[in-house]
Amino acid sequence: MTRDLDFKYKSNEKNQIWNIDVGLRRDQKLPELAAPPGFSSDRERSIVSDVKQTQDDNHNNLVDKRSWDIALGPIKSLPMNVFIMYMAGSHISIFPIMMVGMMFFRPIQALMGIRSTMRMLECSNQYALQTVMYTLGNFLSLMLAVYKCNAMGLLPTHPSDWLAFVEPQQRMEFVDGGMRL
Amino acid sequence: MNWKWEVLFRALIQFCIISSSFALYEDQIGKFDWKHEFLGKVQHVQFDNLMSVSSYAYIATDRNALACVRMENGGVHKRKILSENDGLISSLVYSPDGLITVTAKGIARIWDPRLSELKWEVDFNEAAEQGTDFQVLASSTMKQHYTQGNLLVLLSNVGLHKAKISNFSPDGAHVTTAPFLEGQQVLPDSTNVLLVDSTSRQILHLVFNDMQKMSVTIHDVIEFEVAHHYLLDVSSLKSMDTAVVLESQVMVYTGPEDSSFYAIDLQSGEEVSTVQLSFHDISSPVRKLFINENPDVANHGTTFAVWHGEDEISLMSYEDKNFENIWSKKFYSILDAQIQKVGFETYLFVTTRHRVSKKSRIHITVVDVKTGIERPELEIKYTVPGNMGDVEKVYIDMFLRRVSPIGYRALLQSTDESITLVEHPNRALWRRDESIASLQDVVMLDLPLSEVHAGMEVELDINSERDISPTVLEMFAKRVKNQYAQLTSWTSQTWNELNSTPSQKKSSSNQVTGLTRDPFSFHKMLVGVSKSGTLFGLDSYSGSIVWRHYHQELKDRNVRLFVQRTTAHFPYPPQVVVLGTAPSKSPALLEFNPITGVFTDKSDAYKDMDSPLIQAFLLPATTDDSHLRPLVLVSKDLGVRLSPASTPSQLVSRHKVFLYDVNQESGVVQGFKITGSGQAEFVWNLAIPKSHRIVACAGKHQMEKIDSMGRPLANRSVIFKYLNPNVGAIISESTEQNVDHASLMLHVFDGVTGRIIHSQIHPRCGGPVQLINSENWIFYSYRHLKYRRNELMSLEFYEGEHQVNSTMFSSFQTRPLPQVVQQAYIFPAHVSALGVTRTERGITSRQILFGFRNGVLFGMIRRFFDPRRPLNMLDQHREEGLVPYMPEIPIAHELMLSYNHTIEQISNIYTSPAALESTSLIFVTGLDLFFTRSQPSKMFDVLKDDFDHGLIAGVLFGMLVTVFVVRRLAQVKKLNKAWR
Repeated sequence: MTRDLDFKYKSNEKNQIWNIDVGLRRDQKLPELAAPPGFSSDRERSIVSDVKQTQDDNHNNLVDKRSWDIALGPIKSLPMNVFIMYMAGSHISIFPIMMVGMMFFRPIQALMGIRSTMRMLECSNQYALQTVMYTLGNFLSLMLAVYKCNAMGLLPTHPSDWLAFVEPQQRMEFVDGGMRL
Repeated sequence: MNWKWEVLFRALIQFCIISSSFALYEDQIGKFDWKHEFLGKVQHVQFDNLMSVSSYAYIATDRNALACVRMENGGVHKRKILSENDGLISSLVYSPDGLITVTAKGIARIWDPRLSELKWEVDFNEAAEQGTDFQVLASSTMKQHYTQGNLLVLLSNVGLHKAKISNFSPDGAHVTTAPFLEGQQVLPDSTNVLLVDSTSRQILHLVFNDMQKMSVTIHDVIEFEVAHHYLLDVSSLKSMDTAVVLESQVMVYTGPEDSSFYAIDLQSGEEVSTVQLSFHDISSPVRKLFINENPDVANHGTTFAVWHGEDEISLMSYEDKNFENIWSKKFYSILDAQIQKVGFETYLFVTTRHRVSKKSRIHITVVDVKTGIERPELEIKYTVPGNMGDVEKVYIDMFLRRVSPIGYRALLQSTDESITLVEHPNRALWRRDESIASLQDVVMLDLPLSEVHAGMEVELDINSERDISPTVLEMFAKRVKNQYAQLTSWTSQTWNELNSTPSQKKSSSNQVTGLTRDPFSFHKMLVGVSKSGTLFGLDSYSGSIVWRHYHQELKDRNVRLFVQRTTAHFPYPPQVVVLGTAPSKSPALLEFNPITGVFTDKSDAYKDMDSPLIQAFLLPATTDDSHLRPLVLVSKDLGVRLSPASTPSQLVSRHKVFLYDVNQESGVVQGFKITGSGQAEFVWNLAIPKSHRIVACAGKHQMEKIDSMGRPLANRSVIFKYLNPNVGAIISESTEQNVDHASLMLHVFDGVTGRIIHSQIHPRCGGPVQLINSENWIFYSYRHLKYRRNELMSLEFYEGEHQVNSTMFSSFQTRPLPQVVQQAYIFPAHVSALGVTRTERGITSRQILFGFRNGVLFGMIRRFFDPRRPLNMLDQHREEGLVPYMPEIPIAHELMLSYNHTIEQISNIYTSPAALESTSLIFVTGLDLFFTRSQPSKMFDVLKDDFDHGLIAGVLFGMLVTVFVVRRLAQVKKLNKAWR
């Protein structure tokens, strides 16, 4: 605000009163204005540097925070997912199956798109750790999905699941007989 | 919870499960099932009209069926099956009082003329207060004055009985008994003749056995006491065939080697007259004397016919102690001669057999008895069809006519147990094949492919046989040729159909050419062999006879059918072998094509087998390329023969073939090894205790398809089935009469090694036993003698959680005994036959089929006979789908596959898979035949009959229309949006 005003006065002085020159020529520089009375340039300098310092720090912190948010997202949603899975029950019907499907689908999708997520995390200082945490989180939710499938009995982990593939035994001897004719 | 409530709750669950699964809709009745009624071998025939043309014939058979048959078409108007406990029908008389039947156990009944009601019944046995050994020997009716009512006279092994039959009140049926006199015992092999005399009101009882004495007893009807009793010396008489009793109680007899007639007055027992046969031009030995077959002596008259020499018949009269020859006639090869009397007309009917160029012909000559004049205008000349056998018996239905004095029809009974009604001059009105009622063995075969499909098969077959694959051009040419052939055959077929009249159509549909396989193979050929030696090919769609073949050699033999080659091996024709064995004869063996019924007799090749056959079975392997499974015949001296005889013996030695033979008489099971040497080697034997006799035996079906090798449990582990294909089971019953000591024993053994896998004993139980052995389970029905109820036993065998050998099964491999799970159930019905459904791949759950003694075919899924049914229902059981155990098996009416039909005297249940996995075909034999389909797991692979095709098509069409409309609307909207 102050700058704008300064600018106005400045142009008034240089040119005609109602003519305001908005542009600057290529090699023209803003003329240094004399400090207003009672203005200490030292102080101004110190304040500006302070602000700049804090602004820079703030930005870095923000990026880190954001990145951590992204990286820890899967892990953070894990308890929620556990609860949802618990609530879905172990009956094989359309909703539990849809939920388990989503449970599988999301981490897999996330892992497929890990490159774009990594790009998002690039600016962060703890880039490597965040990527690892992100991957770990997704794997954890995938494991949760697998565990849920197991709990629902959808995984062929029992002998009865392989029963259909058991071939009939080949008979080695042949026997016939019955009542005497 | 109160236990009653629990039981009720369980029953409710069970019924819910049952009722949701089966039953037939009303409009499905008769759609794929049929039932045909038969009567059995004809024993007695009576015609319903005593004067004019009969409209019904009454027939009593060896299966205790009593039927009223329409004379116009041979259809059964009404049929009654008498109980087995009544004994066989021993006499059938049609009288003005009604139809009178007397059974061997002494139950006399009078039926309404159309068999619609039973008018009167009396138990002579009960009235005579005799035990179980009461036996009726003869019976007859006696006419009395109408105020007194007619009499039924019965001769039993205890005495003579009479009952008045004209007052039909059962309370009024007063039975009077006259016991035999001292020393008047009825010997078992004697001939009893019971005659009545309505003029003198006496009953004549003649007993003759080979001891040259005839016992004559004359009873008075009113007093019912013995009037005369004496022994008559009849030294030359050999059988009662050459003796007749004439009017006024004169008996005339002669012997086969005798040269004179003797006339004896039965009242006094004195010989009245004797005359030399040669006086009356009778030079040859007398075969038979006969008069009209009326039990009343008063109707016998004074004339009698003499059949003497080979083929000569003379009519003699005896009056005033004088014999006279009225006339004599020569015939050619007499089969039967009988005198019939209607009103005042008496005629002699002589049936003769002629052979005209290999065809048998029956002539029935009619002779007027009074004059001896032949009536050529009444003669029947009937050519017996080639596959009917010989005529055995002739029943004549004679009636009066206005113009010509008489007319008649003849009912011919032939050796193949069929009856034919023949009319003048040579017309067969109808024929009934009664031997179907006694089918001994049945096979169900797929029909051959149609010409079109068969052509394709050939095309593919040729391709596969050649080593070099044909070029594309060649294939194309073949395909074009093939399709051209299809087109021509289709056009010719359509042309024929268009040209043929409806009647022709009907006849052509019965022909063999029309029999082709349908897509689901529901249409089968049922091939059966009956006790009389007749082979039948039945169409499974209608049960009509496609072909029939009577083979005399098979009569009264133990017959079995073997399918050597099915219809699946085009272009080789299917082949079935029928084997007839008899204890002391060489086997009869016939090969035939089951579809066309063309036979070749192969018995001659086995004529030299002097030792009787003990076993016969089909080899598991086929001869090289003809797909023919050879039949192995094993004789008592352990000789092994193959059929066809040209089969190389290496075929046997290439496989390890074993055999077990269950000998019912000795109670020993023996195991043999069959080698290529033409001799069976004895391997093991298993003897049943002497106090038991083997009543049932069952091996596994050779070609059984099993889908699942194990059973998943609730904890999702598996128990593997013990699928030993060599398992045999025998059940023996104790010979003990005392209920407390009686027992039933089951032995389950391995047929190869003779190892006993399982055995158990049921105390206080007995037969009748029905047994099934299939997959890894055994199922049987028996009777608990103590509690007087029928029970079912279900056993299952498991290997455990691991298979000993998952690739092959050898009985010689040492393996632990299988785990046995078993359960018994109470069954509130008498089971006379057991069966189990079979499907194409064995995926569908099995259904146990019961043939009840009361004529019901009942089917229940095996789940209800799962021996793992728990007593206390837990969650894990529920998860497995087990039904809680209830000792009693309810008989739900929805499960009766025969719905409201009664299938009389069920003897066997045959099953066959259809090409559709869900469906099994069932054929029940007995006195009646019943054929149906069953879907034990419901129709899971085909749309239901009541599937709403219209709705589905409507919805689909509607959605299509909607899609188009919506698309158009969307386009319009998009366009408007773009303009905005």
